[in-house]
Amino acid sequence: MSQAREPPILRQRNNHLPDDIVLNILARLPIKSVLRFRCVCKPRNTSITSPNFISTHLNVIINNNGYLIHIMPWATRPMNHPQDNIVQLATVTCDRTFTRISQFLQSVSVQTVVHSMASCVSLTGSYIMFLVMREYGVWDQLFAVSLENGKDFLGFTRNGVPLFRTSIAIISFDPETSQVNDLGNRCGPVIAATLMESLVLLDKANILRLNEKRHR
Amino acid sequence: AIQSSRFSCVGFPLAYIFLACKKKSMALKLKSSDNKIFEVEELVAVQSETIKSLVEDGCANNVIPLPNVDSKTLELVLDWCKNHVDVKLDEEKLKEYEDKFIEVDLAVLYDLLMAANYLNIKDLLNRASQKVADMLKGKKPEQIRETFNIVNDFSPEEEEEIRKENLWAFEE
Repeated sequence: MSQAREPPILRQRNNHLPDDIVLNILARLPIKSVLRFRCVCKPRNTSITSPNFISTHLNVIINNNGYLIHIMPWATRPMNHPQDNIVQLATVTCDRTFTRISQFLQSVSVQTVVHSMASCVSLTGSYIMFLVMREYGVWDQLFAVSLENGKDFLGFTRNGVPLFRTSIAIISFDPETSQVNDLGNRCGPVIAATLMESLVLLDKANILRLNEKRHR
Repeated sequence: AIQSSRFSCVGFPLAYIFLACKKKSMALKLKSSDNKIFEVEELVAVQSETIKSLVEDGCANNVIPLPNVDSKTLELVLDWCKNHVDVKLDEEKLKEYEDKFIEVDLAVLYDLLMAANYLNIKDLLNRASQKVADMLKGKKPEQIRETFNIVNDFSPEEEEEIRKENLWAFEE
C-alpha cells in the first residue's frame, strides 16, 4: 500500500551518469582535460562549448582562486600588422602548457585574471587599463595606471597586486592606496605569470571589443 | 476521513502517529532497493533534499522507499549525513573524515554519485564529483569513454578536427 503512494521522483532510474552530474565533474577539471573531453563524443563537445558550461567552469575556478592570462591578439602578430580600430581582447592566450606567457612582447598588451576575479590589462597609449570579469562575459574597468618613466607591466602577484618593471627595478603597485613598493633590482628578462584557466575563448560570441586608442 | 483510513490500514493507532509527528527529531524509516530498512533520525535524513521535501509534504510517516539506492550505498550515504548534521563542529576533523570517506573505487563512487544526485545531497555530490574529476585528470579520450561508458559518435575526420583545434591539450 505504501508502494502505491510512492512519490514519482523516487521511481527514476538511469544506467548512465546523468548529464548534469557529468558536467558538474567536468567543471572541476583543468582546461587541458576538459578540452580532451571535447572529442569524447558529440553531446559532450556541444555541452563543453556552450556558454552555460563555460560560465559554470569560470565560476568554479574563480571560487578556487585561480588566475587567467590572455595575450592580446596583436601580440602574436607582426607589430606592423594593419590594425582596424576594433580590437578583440579575449583571444589567444598563454603557451600550450599554460604555465607561462608565450610571445610576451614588451609594450604590447596582456590580459590577466587576478585572484577571485578576472581582470585584463591593455596598453592604450601611455596607460594600462585593468579590467575585471566579475560576471561571465561582462568586463568592468577596475583602475588604470599610467606608464611614465618607461614603466612596463609585468604581471600579478598571487594576491593580485600588479607588478611593474622600470629600467632599474621591479615595483609593486597597490591600486587601493596608490602605494608603490620597490622590490629591488632584477637583471635580465623577467616574466611574471599567474594564471587562471578558462574556456572563455571557446565561446567566440563573448569576445570583448574595445576601441583601440593605441599610437604607434 | 482519508487520513484515518490510511493509517488504520497500516495498523498504527492514530494517536501514536500524531505524537510521533509532533516530536522534533523523530526517526524516519528508509527502505533500500534490496528491501533493507534503515531507521535514522530525521535531522540526519533531511540532509537529503528529496527526503526533506517528503517530510515537509507529510509523506514520511511510513517507510520511505528508495528504490534507486541499494543498502550498501545507503549505509555510506547515511554515514556521511550523520557526520554532516552539525558541520560547524570541527572543520579539520570533517575534512579528514571526507577525505577518508571518498577513498573508494570508481564503482562505489558511481553509486554514491547516483545516490547523492537522486537524494539531492549537495555536499556529497560535490565531493564525489571532485573525486571523479581528480581521477580523470590527464586521461586520454579513449580512457574517458571507457570510464563513463560513452560511445564515440565522431567520425575519425571530425575527431581529428577537434584535436587539431586544441592540439596542445592532447600532448603528453
